[in-house]
Amino acid sequence: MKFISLPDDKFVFRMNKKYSKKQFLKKCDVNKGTFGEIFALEIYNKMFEDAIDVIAEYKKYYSDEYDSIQEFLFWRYCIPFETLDEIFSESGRSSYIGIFSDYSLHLEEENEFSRAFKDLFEKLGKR
Amino acid sequence: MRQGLKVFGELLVTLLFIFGLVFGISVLFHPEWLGIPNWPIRLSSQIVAAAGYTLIPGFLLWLMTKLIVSKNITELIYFYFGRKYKNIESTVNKFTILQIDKEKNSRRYIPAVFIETIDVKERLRYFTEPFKFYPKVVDIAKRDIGKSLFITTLHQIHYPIDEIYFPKLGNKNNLNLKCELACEALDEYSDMVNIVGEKAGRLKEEHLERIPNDKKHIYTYHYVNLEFFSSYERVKEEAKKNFKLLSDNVALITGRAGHGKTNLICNFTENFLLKKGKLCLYFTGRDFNQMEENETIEEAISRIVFSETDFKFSDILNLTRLDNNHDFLFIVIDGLNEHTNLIQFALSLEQLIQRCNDKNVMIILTCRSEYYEERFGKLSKLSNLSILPMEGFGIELSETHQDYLIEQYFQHFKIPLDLGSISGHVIEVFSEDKLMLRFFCEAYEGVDNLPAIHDIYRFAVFENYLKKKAEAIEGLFESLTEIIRYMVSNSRFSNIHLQDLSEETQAVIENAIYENVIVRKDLVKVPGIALGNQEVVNFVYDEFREYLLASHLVIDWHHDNLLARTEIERLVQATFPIAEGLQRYLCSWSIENQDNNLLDLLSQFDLFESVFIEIIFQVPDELITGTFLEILRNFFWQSNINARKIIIALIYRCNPEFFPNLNIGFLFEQISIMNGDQYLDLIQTGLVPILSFETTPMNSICNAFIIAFQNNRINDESRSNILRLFLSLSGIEDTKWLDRYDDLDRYPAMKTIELIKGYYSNKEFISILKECQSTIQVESVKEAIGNLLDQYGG
Repeated sequence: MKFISLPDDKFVFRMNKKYSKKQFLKKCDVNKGTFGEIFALEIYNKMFEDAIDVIAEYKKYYSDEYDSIQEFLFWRYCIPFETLDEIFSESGRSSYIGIFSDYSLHLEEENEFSRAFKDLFEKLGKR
Repeated sequence: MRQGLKVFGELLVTLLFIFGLVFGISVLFHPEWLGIPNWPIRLSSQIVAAAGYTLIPGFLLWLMTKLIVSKNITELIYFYFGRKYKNIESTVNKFTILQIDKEKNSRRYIPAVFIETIDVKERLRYFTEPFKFYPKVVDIAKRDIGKSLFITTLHQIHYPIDEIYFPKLGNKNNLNLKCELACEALDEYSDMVNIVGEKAGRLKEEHLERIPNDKKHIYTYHYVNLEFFSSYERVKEEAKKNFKLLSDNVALITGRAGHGKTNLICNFTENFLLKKGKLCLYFTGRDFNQMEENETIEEAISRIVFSETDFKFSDILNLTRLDNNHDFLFIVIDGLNEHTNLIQFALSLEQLIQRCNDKNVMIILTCRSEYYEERFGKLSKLSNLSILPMEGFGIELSETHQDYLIEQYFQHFKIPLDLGSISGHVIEVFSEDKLMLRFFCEAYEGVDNLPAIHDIYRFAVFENYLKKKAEAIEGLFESLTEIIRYMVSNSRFSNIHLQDLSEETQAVIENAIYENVIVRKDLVKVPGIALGNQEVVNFVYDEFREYLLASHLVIDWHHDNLLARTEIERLVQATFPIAEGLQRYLCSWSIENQDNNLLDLLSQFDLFESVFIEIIFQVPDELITGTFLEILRNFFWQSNINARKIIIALIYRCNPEFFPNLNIGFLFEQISIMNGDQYLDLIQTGLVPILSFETTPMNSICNAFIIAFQNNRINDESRSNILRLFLSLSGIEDTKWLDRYDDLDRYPAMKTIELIKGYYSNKEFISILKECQSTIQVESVKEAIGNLLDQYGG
């Protein structure tokens, strides 16, 4: 489970599966109708609805052109090889790698939002 | 033959499967078969006989129809059982591979340094494989529309809008229709969402009612964003262009010289078309120079590609019809402008496109923008052509690719350096100036003992480059001399008419143009003359031209000093575009050769101050003597603009080992003798100008170092001087810091020190603080350092 900030307000993350909305909310453990649910849904939309599913994209359109997904991510999304090594460093099957951009998400800053986001991401990582 | 066997095999398997199925069903539903003697044979013969009665007439009918419709039974037989089409396929492939190799050998295409970030390659993919990429184009259109500010705002204010619907692609035959329908869907959606009234950003009354009452307050906050309907229109137009591209059969890439059209198209041919096994032919505009009168491009292609006269262009087209693996023949022609008879070639090309309109042919062309508009402009009237401009937004490289590009250049030109052995400043120069990177690599190609590079000495780079090129291209030196002489005597520094040059020089230019880095041919209009376009010659890299002009004047300076003085005085007038560049190279030469007379002459001109400040940092450090440092010191104290320029140049020289004569110590020396007023005038106002908005030079310096620390780009030798630098700048106050985009503080240097403190041991940190406190006289700086000492226990 990795989440990495890229230049130009882009983010790339790797997960072992693509969650459905229901699974995601359950995993986040938020109560219905609360701010927590709104927050979780917003994150869900960013990560699963708006984000580009790069593995699917690679397989469907580019796998016969680029020899590996790393090569594809380097060329199409300008992700440095060092960052790619970090993303792919964890062993195990990665069935979902997403990329999205959001200028309002300052995860490098220490604030309530970034802490909540990191907590949530950690929860998703636990089986 | 193999294909024929494959089809036969598939047919046999299918028949066996059907036979098995019928056999099974018969036994299952009529078990009485099992009681009949020899039942498997009898049942099988019954099934075969029944199938024969039903299928044979049908098969014969299909065969007859096929033969009558295709009218090409011989070709069909050749295709399945002969070698003709195998030979054609392999000749076409071999030809294209050979052509790409030719481009590599001439260095017009350097695969190692190709960086594919530009959208053009992606759009070429759509064009080449429209059926495959149709869903992606739909997806992008939906995504971009959804993300446009206008549509986002409609969602934010809870205005009920439907999602845009694009038709699904059923089969390959209706692609064009589906693309047309997709464009119509975009227009209809435009009508649906165009709900803003005449008052800027306000919804029309009838639309306002559709927002739920409990959400109307959101509208009052966000309605201003509804003014940006253009944000939707822009993505709509982009989507329409993509849908048109999917249905077109000619794509034309335009762009200025040196923007990488050849690299792109060669890479695309090699790593996309050939790699995917597409049937493609690659040509350059020059390949068609020998076209005979009345010869068509198809005939020329047959002549160029096939040595055996019995193969024709139409045979390649037959192959695309017969072979299911080849939907299309791709004809790639790079550099239309390289053809010697542009008018005739433009006409032939137009005819080719029209003839290929209903055939399985896709054409990809590249052309220099200005030549395209002048000579091939008629092509844009063809309805099946899409233009892919290779300029403007989207062609900048990302930092990731910039670093990769530099390393690839070094590898390709066998330069024994990597990113770790060149300074951050040099990386910056190479990233911003790709031509300088190319000149540098060619100048030092194969040099084994190249030391680490801390700065670029342009004079030396050009000198080496010219020496190497003059050895490789016969007559180059003489030709360049002729062009430069012409420039000086006619005060004309660009658009030199070819007919004004000797035939020998014209021949050398033709030769060098192909390489595309020294000179290029351009097309200019001759005022007042109808159809009066003329070919002219220009230097590709202005800096190289100015270096050559300076070298020419330096030679005169030694031979006829008086004449050279007059020439220099005339040419450095600000009205000439070369004035500044010329002064820079003359200044560089006089510093490197300690020619104080020439420097005296240059000091009389207006630009000398800024030229000297720039050039002193571009000559090898060992040549910087006390005299030059004294001149620089005077300039530093003269104005805050000069002080700013010098400080910005000095921050790259924090390591005194690399720059023993002119390093950051120069700045510390000046600050140590400053009083508070002088600090305010030169340093504070120099680095935080009163009229600065988004950012300031001070903030740029801070951010550059913060990033360099984070990326581990700071070496041990520079570290202590960097801390000294920020301590020296700690008195700088940015009163408008809240208005800026940077995350820095009212005291940017103090904030930077806070962020980089972790890279120093406490002992080292305190010791440098104390040292600076004792050497600097400026009160505000002393106070800031005192605060740091209090904070960190000094």
